[in-house]
Amino acid sequence: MANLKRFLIRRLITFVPTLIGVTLLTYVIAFVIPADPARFWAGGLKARPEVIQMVIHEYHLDQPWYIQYYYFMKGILTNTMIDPIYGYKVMSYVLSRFPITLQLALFGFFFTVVMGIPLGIVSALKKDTWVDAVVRVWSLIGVSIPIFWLGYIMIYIFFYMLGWITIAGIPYPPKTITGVPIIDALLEGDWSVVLQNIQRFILPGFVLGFASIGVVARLVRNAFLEALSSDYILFAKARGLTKMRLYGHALKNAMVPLVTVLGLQFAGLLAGVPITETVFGIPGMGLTMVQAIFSMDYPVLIAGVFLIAIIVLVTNLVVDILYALIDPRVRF
Amino acid sequence: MSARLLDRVSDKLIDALVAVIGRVRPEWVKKNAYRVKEWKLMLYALNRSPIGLAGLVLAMGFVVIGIIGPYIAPHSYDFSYIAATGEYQKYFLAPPGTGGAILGTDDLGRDLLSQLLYGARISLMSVILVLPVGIAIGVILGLIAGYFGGLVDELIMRITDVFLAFPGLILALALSAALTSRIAYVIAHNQWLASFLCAVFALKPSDVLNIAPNLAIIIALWIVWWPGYARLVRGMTLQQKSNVFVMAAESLGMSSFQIMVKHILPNIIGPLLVFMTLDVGNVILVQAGLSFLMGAQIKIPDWGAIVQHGSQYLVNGAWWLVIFPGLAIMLAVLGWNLFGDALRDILDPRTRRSIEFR
Amino acid sequence: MGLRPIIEVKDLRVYFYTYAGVVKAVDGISFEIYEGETFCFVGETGCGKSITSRALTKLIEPPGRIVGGKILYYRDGKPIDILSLSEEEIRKIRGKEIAYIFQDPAAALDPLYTIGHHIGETMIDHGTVSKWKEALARAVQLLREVAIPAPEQRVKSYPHELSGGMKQRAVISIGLSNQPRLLIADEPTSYLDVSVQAQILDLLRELKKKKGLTLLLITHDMGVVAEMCDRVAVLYAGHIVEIGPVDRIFTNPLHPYTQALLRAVPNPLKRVLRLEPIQGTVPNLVNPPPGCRFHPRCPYAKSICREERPRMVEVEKGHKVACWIYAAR
Repeated sequence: MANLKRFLIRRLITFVPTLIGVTLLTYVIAFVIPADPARFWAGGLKARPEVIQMVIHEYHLDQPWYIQYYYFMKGILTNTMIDPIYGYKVMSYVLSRFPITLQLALFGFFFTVVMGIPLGIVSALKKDTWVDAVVRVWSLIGVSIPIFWLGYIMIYIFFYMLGWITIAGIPYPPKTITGVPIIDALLEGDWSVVLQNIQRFILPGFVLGFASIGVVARLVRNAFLEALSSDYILFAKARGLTKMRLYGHALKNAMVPLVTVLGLQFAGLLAGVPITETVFGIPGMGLTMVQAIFSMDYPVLIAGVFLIAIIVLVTNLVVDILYALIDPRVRF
Repeated sequence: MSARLLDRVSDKLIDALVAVIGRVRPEWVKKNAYRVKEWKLMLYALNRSPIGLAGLVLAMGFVVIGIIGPYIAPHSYDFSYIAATGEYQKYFLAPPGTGGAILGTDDLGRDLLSQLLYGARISLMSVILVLPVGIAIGVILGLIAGYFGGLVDELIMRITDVFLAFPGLILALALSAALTSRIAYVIAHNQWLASFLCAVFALKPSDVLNIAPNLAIIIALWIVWWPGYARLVRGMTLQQKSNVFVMAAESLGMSSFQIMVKHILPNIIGPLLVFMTLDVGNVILVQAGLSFLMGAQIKIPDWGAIVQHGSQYLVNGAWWLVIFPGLAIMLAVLGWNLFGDALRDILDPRTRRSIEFR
Repeated sequence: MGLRPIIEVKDLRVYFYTYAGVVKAVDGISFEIYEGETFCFVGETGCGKSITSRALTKLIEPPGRIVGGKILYYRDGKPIDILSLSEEEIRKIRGKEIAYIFQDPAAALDPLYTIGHHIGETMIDHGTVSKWKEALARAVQLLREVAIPAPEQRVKSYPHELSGGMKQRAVISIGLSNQPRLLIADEPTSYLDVSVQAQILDLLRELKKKKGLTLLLITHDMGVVAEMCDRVAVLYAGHIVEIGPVDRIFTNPLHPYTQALLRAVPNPLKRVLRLEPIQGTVPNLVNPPPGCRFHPRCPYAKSICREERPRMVEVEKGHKVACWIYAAR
């Protein structure tokens, strides 16, 4: 596994330019905006000129773009930058939002794995029966349905009509260990808070993962069936291996593309986070960044994008490593 | 057998197409007789897939309604029953079937059906304007990166990685918000553009500036869409490059450009087309999502914005404002996904082989 | 060489239902294989030899189907109707009494499992051994028998770590792991270098002698036929056109197709001045030519050849041919 270390180092080195690129891109977009952020930060249309000047000076808005960029990045990364509109420390604020989004993503991923994989296997084993049809329809509808629509329908049914879930607030346990509410609650054995978190997050998690469940089920089904129709399975049949063993072979081979897809799905879940958080009113990073865009809160935007980019890059790296563990041909 | 009946229909369609081509280029018809037979066989496979056919119907339905929608809408998108009749109680959040409003009205008494029909045009135009541009940029960059390799490849891939690591929706949203006023400015100062947009989006000339946010979404999507294709095409180009005929062409002294266009491109167009078809649904969904998030900024309602606007009144029980536009989105996307799926099964020789025909 | 049959096939038909039409890949094939002999199927690509060999243990996958005929497998002198066996019964025969070797050893092996595992699972699933430790020990022995160097290490190797020749040896060892009575080798050397080919064929010959196997060898190479086989069946477009002892087929080829085949390749038993390719192409099996399927390319075709399929007649002892030149009308 010495090669693994070299591979990791090589990959981590490429992180840096990509991250710089991402923040630079955010910065460029902020630049494209014609509106005058200083005026807005100073209080809007009624802002007094001296305040605007102060803002411009404080945030180096009168200096060349590369100096601004350097100043912004330094401030954000060292958590010294103060948000121009709300006054809190930018990085702290964004970081405090992160565990909430993580919890949402975890719920979504939980559904993806716990519902997607078994559905896929069942659908492959019962190919061309009604089970298979249901899974096919689910996966097709899953990728065709707008998340916000599904979200509102679910809210209507489970909140307005049934009252089984909550759509306000985030239940925190008394002590904070990891920052992720439900994990902390589990660690402390605070079951009522755990239940409250489930009530709050189960529906948004399901909505977020809905499409992924379908995609994973479909993928598992197809990978499994494809593995079942490959030549080594034919040879295995010709050797008279038992059906169970054939499935074992096929399943392990199907896992190979699955690992990559699960990684991609996790990243895909992150894509659905802004809309899901907006619909369910969950104060995570998605909602925060959407609000930041409309309130021209660039520091928060840059910080948030930076964090998400790190998550995506790390997820890709983890997927690559898992891939190598499963498929002996890909050892470095 | 109804499939055989469809076979006759699809055969006639292909024959008609071939006749048209024959009039323009008769040599092509003779040379490609085998290819025409392949097309007919592919359509036979499609005819035997009820899901594929259903998808085709929905997909074409979306296109047709997108084109004729504004012309068959009973009212304009900003027409208000309340303003027209003064009957506030009757037409405020009117449920479907009230008076002339087949699908109901919103809080301003606007007819939901008309809004949906105009929104169809915006969705359709979004697809038509976004996909070709995104794909074109992606294909060009992907071909170059894949074919030349080395430093060029590294550079293009790093840039692509940056875009892909960026949360797409946020990027598009930020761009849309940023570009809106710039676009409005450009439209205001460019008569030709204004007329073009009026025609394309079926707008009243006085309203053309209000299309700026929707247009901003489209332009934002150009930027978000190309990296995926760049990576895809690069991968496909690398595969093609390892083929011997590429080496042969190089040794014959063919220019890189010629090799890319004449040898590599034709081989990747097939799977690329399937990808595109499956991507139509994605464009519709993402565009609707962005429009949803832009919310109040969208002045000319399209499906996503209608849902956002209507969601505020869900608590009042006005389910139709959310259900119908969402349903429209879902059916359109579903249609293209079903059709794209069926197309992929047909074009893949392995799955084609395993379809047992009777 | 005993004269007891181990396989008897009567009028076998295997059709493929594809979107281009019904492909009559095997359309009425009859032959016997006797215990202890090396029997060859020879013919061009697409003539149905692989399909027939797979049909022997019902190994046909959709869109293919066995639509007619009888396949009898003789165990202890008693015939077993293969086509009437249940899934579980035929599974017990496959890999234990009748074993296969396929063309492409790389495709036959699961890249995620070691060679030892492949061999082991074949034995465990047939009850030849009951524990994995025993299975792996036996696997090392088997690898040694097929002349794979350093078998104790190789048993833990993954397929991609082996060369083509070694992979095929491993596949052979898998095939022999349960002491089968009949070994079916479907073009075992097509994917290998010429030098390795000779080694593999030698290995097969040796193993056959040592273990008293019956070998069904499928090939398109007349050289391999000459070297390995006792009896040969020549296939063309889903039909058997000639069957007989190998030396008779080579010195006295009866069917025009066999004669053309021998003229098209170097013949080790006869002096040949010029090689001639066979005129025409293999027929479309969705709409095969009526009557004798070879008639469009046959220099001796008569009108009856175009109308009626020729019966198989015995021209000399053990040497049969399906051609209107020899069959009385």
